[in-house]
Amino acid sequence: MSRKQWMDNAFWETEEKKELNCILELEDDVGRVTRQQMFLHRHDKGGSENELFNEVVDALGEDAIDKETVDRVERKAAEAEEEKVRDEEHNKARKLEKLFNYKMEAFEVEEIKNSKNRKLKAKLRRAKSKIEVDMYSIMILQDQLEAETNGKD
Amino acid sequence: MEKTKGFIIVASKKRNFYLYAINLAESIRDYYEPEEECKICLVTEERFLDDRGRDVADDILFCDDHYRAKLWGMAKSPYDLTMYIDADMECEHEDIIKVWDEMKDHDVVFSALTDDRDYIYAERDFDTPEGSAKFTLCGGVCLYDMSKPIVREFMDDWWDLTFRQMNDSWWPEGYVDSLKSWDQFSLWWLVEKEEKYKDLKVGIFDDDLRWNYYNALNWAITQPETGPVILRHFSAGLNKDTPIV
Repeated sequence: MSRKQWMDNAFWETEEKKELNCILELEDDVGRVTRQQMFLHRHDKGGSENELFNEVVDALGEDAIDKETVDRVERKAAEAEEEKVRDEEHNKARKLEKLFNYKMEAFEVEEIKNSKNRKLKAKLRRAKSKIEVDMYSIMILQDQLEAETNGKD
Repeated sequence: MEKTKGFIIVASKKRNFYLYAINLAESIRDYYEPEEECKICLVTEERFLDDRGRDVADDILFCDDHYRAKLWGMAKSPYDLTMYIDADMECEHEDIIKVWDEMKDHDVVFSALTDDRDYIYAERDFDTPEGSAKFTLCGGVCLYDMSKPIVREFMDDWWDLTFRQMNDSWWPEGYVDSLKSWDQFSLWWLVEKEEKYKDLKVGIFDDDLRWNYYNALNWAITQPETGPVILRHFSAGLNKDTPIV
């Protein structure tokens, strides 16, 4: 037995409610279900009412479409916000990896590699930015130079 | 007599791993209080060892360049309570000293491979002759008690089985070849299939993300629940083959 049903997630495309976005679900005689998304205008180019548009509004009710439209806007905003947060966090993770690699490079600088100043090296390891890494690298270099100078003295 | 405690870090095959290992060891010392009680065993190839390794490690063992030398090293730990940590990790919190409390009455403790973290694993689900299965234990960190004979035997077997699966001298029928490169498979086999380990008490770290936080995880949706990350795993974000300088 075939079946035709408008899905209850239809929403207005504009505030004037002149365009409707909806999905028609069809089931054929052997139970195969297909869905068709439709973008319907209230009036055709000649200004006549669109029967299909009216059919959807009658089937679902204008209030229900109003509610789904509001809910959808809120849902989409929440999804966009979530996506934004995910992207930000993803970028932070990539930035941290780059910073880790940068620190590894710093630790391979001969003077830093040979430095016994554990305190400064710990500071370098905990650095939160490249500038901080550079700053502690310079401090270690100075410390190492001083140690060498004192050693010579 | 009180059990000895220490960390084991393995760096083989690539020099970058040695550099990561040194950084990890130093980062553990940065946070471990009192620092003089922090014991570290570095397992590495002789060609890599330099003063940094000698300075940071209490014990040094030389391994060969096997891809999974970590398992050889784990089985050779000089400490009773041993915390193995992958070299490409970094310690970033003073709770590192609490790691020994995680032993509880377990024999070995891992972090978990869970469905909600599924998106970062290369190969987790697989078919077996008995049906589908999935890895549930992650070997990135492992706390184990080497004072127990069963654990010593388990560690030896894990290395032995991994070695044999990787050189094709052992492989069970009905399992896809792509699993051969994963030590999670040999771990899964020992825990799930070996009769002698049916009573091995395998545990998961409490709030295990603190103990093995893959930096590749999406920070927005996957976070520890009870405190900040203690050990961060950089794994995917590092270029392990290109010389650092």
